[in-house]
Amino acid sequence: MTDPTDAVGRDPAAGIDPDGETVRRARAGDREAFEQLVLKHQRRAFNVAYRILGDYEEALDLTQEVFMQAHRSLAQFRGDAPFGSWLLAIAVNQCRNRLKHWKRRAHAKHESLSAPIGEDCPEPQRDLPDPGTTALEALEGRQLEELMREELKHLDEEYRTVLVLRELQGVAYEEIARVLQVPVGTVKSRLHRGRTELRERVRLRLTPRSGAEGRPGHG
Amino acid sequence: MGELDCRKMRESLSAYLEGDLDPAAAAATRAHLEGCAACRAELELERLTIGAFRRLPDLPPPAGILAGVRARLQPEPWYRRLAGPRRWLIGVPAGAVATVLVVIGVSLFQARFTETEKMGVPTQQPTYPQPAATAVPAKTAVPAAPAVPTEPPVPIAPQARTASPVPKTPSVRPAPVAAVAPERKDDRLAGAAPAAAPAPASAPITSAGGYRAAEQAPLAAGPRSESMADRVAAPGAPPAPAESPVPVVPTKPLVVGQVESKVDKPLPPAAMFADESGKDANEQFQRQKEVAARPAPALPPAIDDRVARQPARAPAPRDGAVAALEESDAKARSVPAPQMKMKKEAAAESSRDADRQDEVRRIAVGGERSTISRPLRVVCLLAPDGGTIDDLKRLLERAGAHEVRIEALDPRAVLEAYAPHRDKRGLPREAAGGWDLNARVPAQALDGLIEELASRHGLHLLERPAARPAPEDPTERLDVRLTVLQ
Repeated sequence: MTDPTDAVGRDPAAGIDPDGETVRRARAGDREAFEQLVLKHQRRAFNVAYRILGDYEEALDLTQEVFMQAHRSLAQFRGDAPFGSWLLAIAVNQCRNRLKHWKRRAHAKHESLSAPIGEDCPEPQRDLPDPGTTALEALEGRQLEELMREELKHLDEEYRTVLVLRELQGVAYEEIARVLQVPVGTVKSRLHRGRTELRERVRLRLTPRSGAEGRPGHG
Repeated sequence: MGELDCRKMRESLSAYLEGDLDPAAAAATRAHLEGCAACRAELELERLTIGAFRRLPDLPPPAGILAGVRARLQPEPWYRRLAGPRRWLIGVPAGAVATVLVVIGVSLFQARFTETEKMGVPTQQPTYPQPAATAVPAKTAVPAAPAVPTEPPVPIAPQARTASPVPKTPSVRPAPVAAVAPERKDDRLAGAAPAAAPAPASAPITSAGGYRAAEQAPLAAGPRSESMADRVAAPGAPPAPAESPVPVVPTKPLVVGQVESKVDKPLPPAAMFADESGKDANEQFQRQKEVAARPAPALPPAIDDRVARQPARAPAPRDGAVAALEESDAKARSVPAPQMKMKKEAAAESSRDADRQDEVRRIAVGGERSTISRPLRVVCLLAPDGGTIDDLKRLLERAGAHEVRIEALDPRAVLEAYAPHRDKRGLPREAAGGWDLNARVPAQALDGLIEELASRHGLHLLERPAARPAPEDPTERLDVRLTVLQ
């Protein structure tokens, strides 16, 4: 998770955009000012794209597109919200569009994006200690990251986006709501449903099942 | 507890953990958990899952982002700048514009046959019909004859400015000045040989020439602060004499690819005509111009990610070192083996000196500097199936670390300090050992580096520095000691 003190755009109530002056210069045509904005925000934009898309190269390409879009649209940036929030909204929209594009083209890696969990698997027995917890505790480092990364990819895009913004980027509910243009209640609902689904997927991955092969939802 | 209750509870556990339930729902959930071991286990799983998810590393941004954005950020083609708020263009007779285009084309066509490096006044030697040469006002005709300069290319606009100074607001830029690209296309279509590249470069696209000229200077001198509008109005290049016609001396036409300017290396004019669209041609020209005009070492580290990410012992030799190495190789052929070896070592040392000088130079121009006297500690335990110390060294260097030094640790000290961690993981004590990897790491890359250590390479993170505010200076480097225990 990012340093919580990296508070770009995380305090919408503050009313002060830390990038205000730089944005003003960039809008006036100062390319160096725009590059400063790129340097400052590229990390967050890239990580958001990477976690939502699940592909490093795609995320790199999309991040560049995000900044190009921002550059083109800079004149329309009214400053109602911090620049970081505005850029985040562009990134999220670009990710959404890219995922839709993949869906249409039946991108092999993302065919099961919204596959429901548990359809083919029985409910775990509830009178025994939950094996998922023990198995999860036993995982460390690379394996754990791999597990989380894989299961994140299989979450519904709406849940995935909110999880990435909230849990990985530490974005406040209000800002997420502004980025996604939905009510705060919807953000919370998606977050908790996403977490629940993630938890269910993790349990099913880790719970040994006789004769069960592959992950739920995969063909 | 009914199955339905447990299912319902499961769905609210996330909100319960986050404190997002209303008081009544939270109380009901708490009461249920007190009596349901399965749901308590589910709550624990929720806690572990989210904890693990939050530990997914935040990756450092690839160096290609800024480079890619730069490559795609090209100055607007002339015809885009004519649109929009350029209201002064509305109403300009199309005929006058066409006339100017033709005259400019004529002059540019003439320019390529001259060897002079001065900016010339259009000679009015038509190579193709110029229907309205007489109708061209002086200030618009002036830009039409750029010669082949070896001085810094002079935008045609400055001549126009001499006649009628270009104000500092883009909205008053003279129209004809922005019409070179299509003109060049006409040249080609008319069968003319490619005109001098500096001419279009400097031309008329006042903003392009001005932008280019102004851009070059700051690359060498430091951060740019002038706005695009300022560059447009004051490119910084000396205006050519307004009234000193340069005799046209026919010479061999420029071959595609021939570079005339010694200062600014203009591209082959044919590059301007990569396709039928002036837009793409101009963009290509601008892109290649940027590449030619971009000396990597002169860029401030804050702008160029590649500088910040260069490994501690970057093998690429600098100019002085290249010369030294070449000289060394040349002499080696005629020098006996032992002496040849000594000369190679001397050249390598010269290369390292050049690297250090570059390092000092970067620091001197406000590049990297370390503000921490005591190193930040990161302690990891290397699993048996983890990577090697060389892998870790490469990891550090890939993150932009400089001066990576490896020191072996006393096994007894390691064992004593970290035995409990080894016991917990079932690692044999007899194999205790370790290394210190000391390095100077870019501050902005440190967090991502630590996360990567924690999640990959079989490393268990035992200690890490406390959270710090984001560095104000992105070029700041921190002294870090990565203690890797075996």
